[in-house]
This record gives sequence, C-alpha cells and structure tokens, in this order.
Amino acid sequence: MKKELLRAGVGVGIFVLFLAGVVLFAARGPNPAQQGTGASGTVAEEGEGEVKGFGEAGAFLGEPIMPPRPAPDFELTDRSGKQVRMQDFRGKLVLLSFAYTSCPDVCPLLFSRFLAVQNEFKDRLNKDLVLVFISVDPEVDTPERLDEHVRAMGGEWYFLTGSLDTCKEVWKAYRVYVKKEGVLVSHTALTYLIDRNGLMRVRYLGIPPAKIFITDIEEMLK
Amino acid sequence: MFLAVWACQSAQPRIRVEDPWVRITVDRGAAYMVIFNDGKASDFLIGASSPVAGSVGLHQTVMNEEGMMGMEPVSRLEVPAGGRVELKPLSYHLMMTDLRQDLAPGQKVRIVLQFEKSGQVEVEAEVRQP
Repeated sequence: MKKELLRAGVGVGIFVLFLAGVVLFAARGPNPAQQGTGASGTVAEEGEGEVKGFGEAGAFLGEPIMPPRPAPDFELTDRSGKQVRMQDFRGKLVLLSFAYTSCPDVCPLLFSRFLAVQNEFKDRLNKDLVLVFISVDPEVDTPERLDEHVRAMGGEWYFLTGSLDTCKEVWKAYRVYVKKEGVLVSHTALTYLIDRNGLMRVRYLGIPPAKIFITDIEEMLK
Repeated sequence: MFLAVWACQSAQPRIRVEDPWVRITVDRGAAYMVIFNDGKASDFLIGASSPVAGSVGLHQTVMNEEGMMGMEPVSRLEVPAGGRVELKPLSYHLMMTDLRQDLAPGQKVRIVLQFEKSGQVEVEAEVRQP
C-alpha cells in the first residue's frame, strides 16, 4: 500500500514538474539571445507585435531589432535649411546616428566610420543609401555650423537639427538619452540601420568598426 | 653623502612623450599621445596649456551599460614609474576648447604638459584628420 502511494506521489510530482516546464517555456517568449535586447533592453518590448524573420536576424553583425519596427518619423532641418522628414528616405537604406559638432573625442570616430561607409558605397550613396546624423546639441548646431562641419569632414551626409523641443521628441522616439553639462553633451552612442521600407532592422551601441556597418549594409542591399 | 644624493636622484620620474597628435572639430580639439615614465618614481599629469586654445583640460571618455557616452574631467593622471599612459580616442585625452585659430591637418600645435614632479614638458603635436 505504502509502495503504491509512493509511486502515485512520484507520478504526480513528475506531472506537476512537466506542467511547470511547459508553462515556463510558453511564458518566456522568443530566445532572448536573438531578440537583440541590449543593456538598455529597449528593442523588443511587449506589445510590439509578433516576432518575424528570425531566419534573417543572424545575417547582421550588428544587433538585430526583432521584430523590426517602423523608424519614427520626424521633421528636422538639414544643413541647407531645408525641412527633411524620415519618410523622405523611403526606398533607400538609412544609416542613422546621433552626434554634435563640438564633440572632441567620441563623435569624430563615428564621423570617420561614416566616411569609410561613404567611400565604400560612393556609387550608391543617396540613390540606395543615405547617411544621416541628428544633432544632440541643437542649441549650438545651427544649419550653418552643421554645413561648415560636414564640409570640413568631407562628408556627404545629412546632418539634421531643429528646435530643442523637437529634437527632444526625436531623441526620445529613437531611445537616445541626452544630457548637457556645460559645453559637453553626454548621449547614447546609438546607430540604426533602417531598411527601404522604413523599418529599423539593426542597431549598434557604441562605435563599431566601419567594417561592421559596411557588411550589414551590403547584406541589406542584396 | 654621494650615495644619498645618487639614491635621491635615481628615485625621480623621467618623463618622455611619443606620438603626440591633435584632432580638431569646428572649435575644439582633442590631443592624444603616449606618456612614458622611464624613472623610478611615479609622476602625475596635473595640467596642460596651448597657445592655440583658451583652455586645455584632461578628460576621460566613459560609456555606461546603456551606451551613454560622455566625458569626465580628470584632475590628475598617474604615470607610474617604469610605465606609460596612453591618451587615445575613447579614453583619456586633452580637450582643447576656445581654439584661437583655424588649424589644418599637418600643422603643428605646441602643448605644454604640467607634471607634479617633473614640471613642464613641451610637445609639438601634429594636427591629423579625424
């Protein structure tokens, strides 16, 4: 009798453990390693739709954004004083990052990476691919100053600015944190690769080597 | 007496600087270099100045877990005895503000480094493309 009770107890225990496993597996969702969540955990969040295109995620060297989500629209001013919207770039890949002209140490490295990308894709630049920076110091970065800076760099990219309030909304939409202390601006070093349909597909935290950007752009241009 | 003087002298820092260069933005610059201390006592970089800049400060670029990058002022930087410190992009650098003249690649910029024990050390840094 005792043996039967023991067997029954073990059986119930195994069944309960199995059930718990099934529930946990179902609740954990997609593999976090493939979600592309960084330290800030800002990419694949709840309520952003179904995970699609897992097969493609591994093709990028940057951090895939799963699921890809629409790049927030904005209206900012380019260095010629013209109004530019994110939607204007539809049909082209967009490599989008955030910087400021007075930045002495971090941003210049990013500019040099973009220069390398520009040189690599010079025949396709502004036809299939656009390079875009958004200022994180709009109070200083006037269109004239941005123009001077881009020319001095030999860049052929958009460098956008706007009112502080407008820029704050854009930074927030792109999950870029900006903190100005005196003349220095701390900001999230975040770059996005956006596909032809205006979907944010890959993100890069920090200042990756240009080869990373180039390889991912080549992959997306296929 | 001779031994005491010799011991005292040999326990001094001996600073030398290699590969100094400057990167210029619109109105600021960052200077980089490798500082060696061939002596037997440590020394500290405590200040710097340049005739082309209103001020020169020592900064360290830092990035937190969330990718927030910024610069923090550093009041003194140790150059250990028999060791070296590298001022390089995304790390320690001399930030030059209020540039007094336009600088082009290839130009030389004079920077005076102030060390706690070794006093002033002058370097000629080349302006390079970003």
